[in-house]
Amino acid sequence: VKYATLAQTDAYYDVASRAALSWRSVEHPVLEALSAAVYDLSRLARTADDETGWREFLYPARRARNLATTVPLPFSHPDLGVRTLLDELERNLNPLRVYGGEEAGELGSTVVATGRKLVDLDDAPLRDAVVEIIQKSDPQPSPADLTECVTTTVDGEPQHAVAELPKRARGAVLLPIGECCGVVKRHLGSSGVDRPDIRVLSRHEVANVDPIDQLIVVGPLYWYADHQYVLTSPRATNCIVLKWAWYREREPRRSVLDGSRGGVAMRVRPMPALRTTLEIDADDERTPIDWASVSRELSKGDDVEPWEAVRARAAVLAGREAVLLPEEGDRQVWLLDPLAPAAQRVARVEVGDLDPGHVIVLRTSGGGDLIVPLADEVLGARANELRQLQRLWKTRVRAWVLEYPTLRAASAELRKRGCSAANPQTIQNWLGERSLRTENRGDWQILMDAVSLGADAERIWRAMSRLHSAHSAAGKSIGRRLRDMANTAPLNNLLSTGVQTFALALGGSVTAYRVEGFSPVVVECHPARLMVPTRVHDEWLT
Amino acid sequence: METAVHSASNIARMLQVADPSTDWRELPEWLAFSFELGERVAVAFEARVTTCAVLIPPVRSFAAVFAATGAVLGVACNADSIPDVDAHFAALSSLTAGSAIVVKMGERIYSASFQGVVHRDGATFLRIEYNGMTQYLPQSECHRVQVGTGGKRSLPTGKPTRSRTAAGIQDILGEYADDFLAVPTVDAVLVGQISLLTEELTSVSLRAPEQQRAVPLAALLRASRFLPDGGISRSLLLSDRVAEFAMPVDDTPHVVIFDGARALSRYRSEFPNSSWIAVLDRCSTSIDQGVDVANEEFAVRRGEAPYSRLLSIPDGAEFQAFERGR
Repeated sequence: VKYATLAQTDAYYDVASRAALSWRSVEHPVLEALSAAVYDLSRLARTADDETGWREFLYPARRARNLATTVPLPFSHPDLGVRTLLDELERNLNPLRVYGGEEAGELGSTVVATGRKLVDLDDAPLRDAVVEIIQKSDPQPSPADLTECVTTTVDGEPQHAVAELPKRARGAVLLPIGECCGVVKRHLGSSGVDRPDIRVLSRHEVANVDPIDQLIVVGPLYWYADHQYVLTSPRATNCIVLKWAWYREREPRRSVLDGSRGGVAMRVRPMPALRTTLEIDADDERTPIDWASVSRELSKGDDVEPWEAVRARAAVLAGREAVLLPEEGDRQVWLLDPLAPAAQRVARVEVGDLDPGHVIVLRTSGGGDLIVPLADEVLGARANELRQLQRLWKTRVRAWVLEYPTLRAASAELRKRGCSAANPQTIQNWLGERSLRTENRGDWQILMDAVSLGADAERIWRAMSRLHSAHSAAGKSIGRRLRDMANTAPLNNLLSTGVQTFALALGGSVTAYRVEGFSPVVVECHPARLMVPTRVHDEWLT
Repeated sequence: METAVHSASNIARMLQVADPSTDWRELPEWLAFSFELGERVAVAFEARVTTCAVLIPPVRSFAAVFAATGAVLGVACNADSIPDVDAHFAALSSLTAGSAIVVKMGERIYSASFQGVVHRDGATFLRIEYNGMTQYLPQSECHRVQVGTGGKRSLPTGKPTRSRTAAGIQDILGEYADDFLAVPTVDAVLVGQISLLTEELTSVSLRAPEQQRAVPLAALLRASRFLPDGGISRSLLLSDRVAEFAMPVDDTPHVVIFDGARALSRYRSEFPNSSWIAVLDRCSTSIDQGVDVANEEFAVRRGEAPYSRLLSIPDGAEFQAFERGR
C-alpha cells in the first residue's frame, strides 16, 4: 500500500464523492458466435460425469475467448495469442470427441472454425471504442500527456512507475489481463492508431494511481470480483465500462456490511439493454483457477518417498507462473514492498502472513534457496569441496534410510544406537538441503557410524561447521543485498507487470513476483519443489 | 487556558492539521470523522459500553491513526482522572514484589518498584522503592501510581522545563495536559502495518486554533516507540505481523484500532474486553475476510452503538457500529 499525503487523500475522497459510472455496449457478430460456442461447450461439459477429459480442449477455448473479449487489439494481431490457442484446440478436437461424444465434437469444431474466422479479421472493436471515447473527450493530448510520451521507452513500457507519472494525466484504460498491458500500449502508440497518450493500467496499478478524469474499464466486470475497488473506490470521476452487447452485467455492490450506513457513492447510469439473443452472465463464464491441476503440475515428476514428502500450498504468481510454498517447517519468505520507504522495503515474513498482491522474492536460477549461493560466495574456492562432502553424507543417509521400511523404523534403529536426536522429523530434516549436521557431536558420530562414514566423521563435521558459519553469514547479508537491489534498481517493471528479475553478483538471479492467489488445498511434494517458481499451463489459470 | 480545545464538546472540530502537502487548515470532513469516531468510541467505553465500529472508506489513509489519536485524546479529556481508589488499590496490592511501576511526584514521573502493602496505625500504605529510597504512599493517593515502565530514573536536580511539543499539547488539552503527560496508560492500541502507520503519524501535525506550536500526531498518540526513554505512553502501536507482544502498562485499552482485515481477524481475540474500531481497505484483496468478521460480530450484537447516529459519514464511506454482544 502506498503512503498518500493529506492532499492526495483529499483528492481520493473528492473523486469518491463525485464519480459516475456509465456503460458502453460493444458488438461484433463473429466474436459473439465464438463466445456462444464456448458457452455451449462449457454447459455441455457440466452435464458430463467427469469433466477431466474435456479440459484439454475446454480450457484453451476459454482462454482464447477471454483474450478476444478483453484485449483491445485487432483480432488478427499476432500478439493477441488466440491463433496459437486455436492450433492447440485443433490438435485436441479428436480427444474431445472421444471424451465428450459427437455433440461436444461438433461444438468444438464450431469453436475452431469461428476462431479461425475471427483471427483473419483486422477488426478491433474494443480498441476502436477506447480511442473513440478518449478522442471525444480529449481530442488533443495535453502537454503533460506528451511529456509522458517522451519518457516512454522504445518498447512502450513507462520509464517511471505509474504512481510517479505526471499527476495531470487525464485518461486511462484498465485491462483485466495484466500481462497484456505492454502489448496494448505499444499498439496504441503505433502509427496505425497514433494515441501514445492513452495510459494502459492493470488493476494492481489503478489502486495507487493519482486521481484522473476518465477511466475506461474493459469488462466483463467479473474480472474485478476480487478487486472491486476498481469500481467501489474509484480513481477517476468518470468511469466507463466497455461491455459486450450479449453480456448481462451486474452493478457493483454499494454496501457489504450488515446494518451499515453510507456506502459507495458512485452514481451508476442505467445499463444499456441487451441487443442480442445470446445472454451470458458471470456465472456462465467466470472460470476459477484450476488449483488441483496447478498443484499437480507443480508437484509432479519426482520419485518422492512418502516420508520425504512435505506439505505445501500452491500460489499463482504474476507472469503466469506458480510456486509451492511450505505449510510446515521453515516457512519464511522474503517480501518486497515496492511502495514502502527504503528502510522497510524488504522484510522476512511467514508464508502465512502473505496475501494476494504481496510481492515475494524467489531465486529463479540454480534452485529455490537464496541462502546456498550466497553462502558459497562467502566460502569462495572451498565451497565446492564442502558441498561435495555435504552431498556425500546426505546420499549415504538417504541410502541407509531406504533399507528400513519406514522413517520411524530407521529412527528407532538410530535411537537404539544411542542417537538421542533421532526421530522421523529430524531424519527428514537431515535429508533436506538446508540441514548441515546434527546439533550434537555425539549424535553425529553415531549417525556417521551407521552410514559407514565413521572414519571421516570428524573431517565432515568440521566441514559442515564451516558451511554452517557461511550459511549464517549469508542469512545476515541477504536482507541487506535484497534491500540494496530494491532501493537502487527502478521498480517500474514490478509495479506494472508484477514481475521483475534482478541479477545476482555471483551469477544467477532472483525474481520478485506479485502473488495473485493461493490454493485452497494443500498437497504433498518433494522438498526440492518448494519455492521454485514454475511456468504453468495457461489453461489452468483463466 | 482559554484556547485549549478540550473545552469544546468535540475536539475534532477545533483542531487544525497540516502535512508537507497542505498548509494549516481545519480537519477536512473525512479526517474529522475518523478522529471523532475514535473519541466517541473511547468515551462510550468510559461509560462501560463496549462497541465495535467498522469503517470502509474510499481510501484507508489516515483513518486508523486519526481514530487512534481521537481515542487517546478523548480518554484524556473525558475519563475520570481519579479512578475508583479502592479498585485501583486492590489491583496494585495484587502485584508481586519488585513489579515495575511509575509514581507521579509533583510534576515529574519516576520509575519505581512495588514492594508490598503495609498496615500502620489503622491505615494502609503502598511501599514503593525508587532511586534507593523507600516511600510509603497512603491508599487514598494510590492514583499517583500506575503499573508499567517509563518515567525518570533519578530525582530532579533543577527546575523542570517544558518542551515545545509538551507546550503544544498544553495548547490542545489545557488542564488535562499534565495528567496526559504524567500517567502511563494504554488507552488505545493501534494494530497495522508499522512502516505505513509510522509515516502517517510522523508526517502530520495538529495544533490548537491560532496557536503556533504544532504537535506531530505521533506525540499525541504517545505510543512508546515514538517516545524517548522514560517517556509516558498512552497507547501501543502493534504490528499486524508479530506473534507475541507485551503491554507496556497493565491496562485494558479503551479502544483497539485495527488497520486492515488482517489486523482485525488476527488480533481482536487478544483484546476481548476493549471496544474495537476496524478500518477495512477497499483496495485490499483480504477485505472480504474483514467484512465476514464484522458481520459475524454484528450478528451477535447487543444493540446499536450510542454514537452511531451522531456521526456524519463522509461521502463514499460505509460505516457500521454496534454494541458488542460478547
